[in-house]
Amino acid sequence: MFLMRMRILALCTLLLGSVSAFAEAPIAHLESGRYERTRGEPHLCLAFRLSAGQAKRSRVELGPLYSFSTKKSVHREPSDLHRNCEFIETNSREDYADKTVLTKNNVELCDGKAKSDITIRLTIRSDHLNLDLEDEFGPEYSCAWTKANDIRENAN
Amino acid sequence: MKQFFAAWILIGGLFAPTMSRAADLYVQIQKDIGIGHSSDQVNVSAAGSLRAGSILAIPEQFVKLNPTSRQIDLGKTLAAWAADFAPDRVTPRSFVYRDQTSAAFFPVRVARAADGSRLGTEPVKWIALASLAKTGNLKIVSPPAAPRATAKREVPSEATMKCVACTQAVPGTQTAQQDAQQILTLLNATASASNALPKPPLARRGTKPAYRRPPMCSNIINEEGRIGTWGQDIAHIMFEPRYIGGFFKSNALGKFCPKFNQLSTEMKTRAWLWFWATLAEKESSCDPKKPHSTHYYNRATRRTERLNPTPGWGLWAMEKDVNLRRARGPACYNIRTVEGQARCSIDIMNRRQLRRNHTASSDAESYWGPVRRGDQQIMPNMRRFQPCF
Repeated sequence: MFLMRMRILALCTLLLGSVSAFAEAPIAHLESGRYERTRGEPHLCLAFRLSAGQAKRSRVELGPLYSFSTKKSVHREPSDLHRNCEFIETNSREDYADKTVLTKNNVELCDGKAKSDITIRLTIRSDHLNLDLEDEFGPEYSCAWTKANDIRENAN
Repeated sequence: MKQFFAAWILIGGLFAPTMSRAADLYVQIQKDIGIGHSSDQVNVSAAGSLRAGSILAIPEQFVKLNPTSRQIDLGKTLAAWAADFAPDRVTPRSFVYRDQTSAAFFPVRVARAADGSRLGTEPVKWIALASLAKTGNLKIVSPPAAPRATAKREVPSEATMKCVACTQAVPGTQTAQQDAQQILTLLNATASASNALPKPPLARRGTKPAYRRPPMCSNIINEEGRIGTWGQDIAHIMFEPRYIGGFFKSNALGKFCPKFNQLSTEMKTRAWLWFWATLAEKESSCDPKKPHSTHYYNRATRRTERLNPTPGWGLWAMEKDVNLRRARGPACYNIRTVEGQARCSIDIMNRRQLRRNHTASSDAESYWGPVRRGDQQIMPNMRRFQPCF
């Protein structure tokens, strides 16, 4: 009976370990707080607030304009607007010692030809985010944000 | 369309009491189907869905059964159906519903809802026929348990049958939503005195040459405050339980409507529709098929500059890429119709602003550029809506 219980326990440990291995690790360098624009056009690089919960989720939202998956994935969806078109999104992630890079590529294919091809790259460092967007014609614009000092956090 | 008319549902008994009533066939729907809400027996607007598991009663004489496969074929053509009933009965109506280009809606009797409750007496739903006709969506079942002897079965009066909306009791509906739906019904009744507008007209006329909104914006709400078909869709969505608390909370429109709290629910509805029309005018000139470019020509700098990260579409400039919208949630999955675009916009407004204790006007993180630049782009037209100021 004891051996049976130990085997069950070992099996559960193995399963849990496997599950956690597949679960995406949160982004170590991403901190919650308010981020202010330090570079880029105001209407394309809006300031935003990142909540503590969001910083650990599988998707990071930088205000209303940008969101990134923290998991590597590919999504292919038919267009709801044009019958002969489809959209393909490819997400990737690269972790380094001092930064994490999330890349998202969105393509619209119509009759097999790319109608738009946009790649957005988000580089995450402690307190500092960089975003670069390029489309089918080349690099378009960049944004940079710095985490603002929260008065309440620094009150002493 | 032919396939829609080739398969349909008849009403027995309920709408033709003089007909000899064949035994009802009870079918259980396997997938959620769209339901509609009739405002004036002329227009049916989308109201939600009837959940899988609900049981419908169909007079057996109008249904063909394949004896081998037991597949249900909803027979008779629309013309034959219509011929069986007097013209003053509730008749099927066509309506653009969700992703159906032209869905036929037919009234049916719901014997039992998905949660097991009976939807009032002789409940009537307008069912999106295309959804019902999908293969495998109907399963023959036994009649639901008979009601208790003490329960009084009421035969609907002529007045009740004509007022389809009045019989559309949804279980668990909050009183606020019922009130809101009844108000909307009254608002849109063509002969209703409630839709009579206060004098002077809602839109203030200035000394400048008359401001003219793009004509298509009248589909939301016109200069006299009369609600159009798109406006009905928008209002219905805002009245849904998940949204009504946000859109009708205190000071929901912020500086766009300072007197919001003093308005009746009816006028608050019109104020919101005025806002949505104003925003649609700025984003697309109220064109639901308007593509939104990523670039614009800056006359000051004489350069083509980036306007948006990604291409947009429609009345309120939703993202054209369905993958980008998928990240915003299921409300934004399909923006092919006005109703789909409205649902996505309302959901975004609710999630990004109203649910975060912000108002429609107070958010620098709003999805919409005209809202972020509200003083210049939204306020001038909102000020023309007199009840708000």
